Amino acid sequence: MKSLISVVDILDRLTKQFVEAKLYSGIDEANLADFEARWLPLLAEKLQRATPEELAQAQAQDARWNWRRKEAAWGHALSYQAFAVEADTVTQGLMYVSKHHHSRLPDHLGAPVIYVEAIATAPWNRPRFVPQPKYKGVGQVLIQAAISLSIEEEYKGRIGLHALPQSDSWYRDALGMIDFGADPDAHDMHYFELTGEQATKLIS
Amino acid sequence: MKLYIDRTRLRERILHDPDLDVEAGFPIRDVETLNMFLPRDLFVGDLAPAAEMTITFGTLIELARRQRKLTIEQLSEKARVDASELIAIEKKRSGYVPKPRTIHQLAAFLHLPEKGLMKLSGAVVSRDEKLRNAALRFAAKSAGLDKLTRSEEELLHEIVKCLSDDEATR
Repeated sequence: MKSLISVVDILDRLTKQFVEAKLYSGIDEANLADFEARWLPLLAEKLQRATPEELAQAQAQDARWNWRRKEAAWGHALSYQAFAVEADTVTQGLMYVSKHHHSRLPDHLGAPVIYVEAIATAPWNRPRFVPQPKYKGVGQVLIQAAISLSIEEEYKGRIGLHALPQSDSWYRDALGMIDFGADPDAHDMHYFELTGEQATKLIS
Repeated sequence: MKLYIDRTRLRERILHDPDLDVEAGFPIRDVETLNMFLPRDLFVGDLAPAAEMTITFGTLIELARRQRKLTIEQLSEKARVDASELIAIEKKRSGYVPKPRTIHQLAAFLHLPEKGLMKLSGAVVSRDEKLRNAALRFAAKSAGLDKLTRSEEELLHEIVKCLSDDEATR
């Protein structure tokens, strides 16, 4: 069931003005249709035109994240939750989280974390995908949603995720998450975790 | 559920955030396999080469099956794939693209390189001209033969080697 969590602001990079966006819990057919009709053609076009080297830069990896399949598999599972950010009545970002993962930090070993299964912004919002990306802040809004869910679940704001290589810097340097390094069980993606203390700083 | 960060604070964060990518989740290591998850009607490129390759894919699976002296039904059971799908593959039904799981199962059972099979199956739109040419030679030479002859064995070996070389160079 899709429900509005909050009206938030994201930055229009072109006009340098904030515009209103809506953060939803749950995704619906309109979000899936946006992904298929608006996101995928851009990803597909990039794939067709790109050289292998450009592909490596293109961050199109999430074309493989078939959101419709994920919704079918996880949409009704209690331990999973989806989030969407919409602006201009178009889906600007999507995220799936799960509630059954545990902390890898020695001090919090075994403590539950909200695990970000997948997070992606629309291709036109990605700095490395298009020369002039449209909106800034969609990822921040979604991560704040994950932290908020973690607080509501009494996980104290703890979240964990495996970042795509080009996103390592965002999670390590911008959000200050703890970098556990390459995870051999996750194709050597780096695993990152946010502690409760770090979460408190990020929301205050 | 509510958002715990204040709206004004969130604006400040966004304003001062570096312009970095945020994508996370389980990865795709080989970007060439991306296409198989895209609906084929979204492709903007030429699909003809992929269609040609599927002929070779069907022939390859048929020869590999016959080499092991298996019927379609037996291969279906041993590789745990639908017999109807094997028939569609071996008959080279026009436009037919096998499921990723089927390719994975066949690759595992027949000891064939999975990535190469992905390309041959048409699930991946490949730009690999060398593989395409080898596939066409293979399909042309092996068509119409009922029995797995010595020359067919050699052809089978040649295409498998080509697939293996292709995978080894990645």
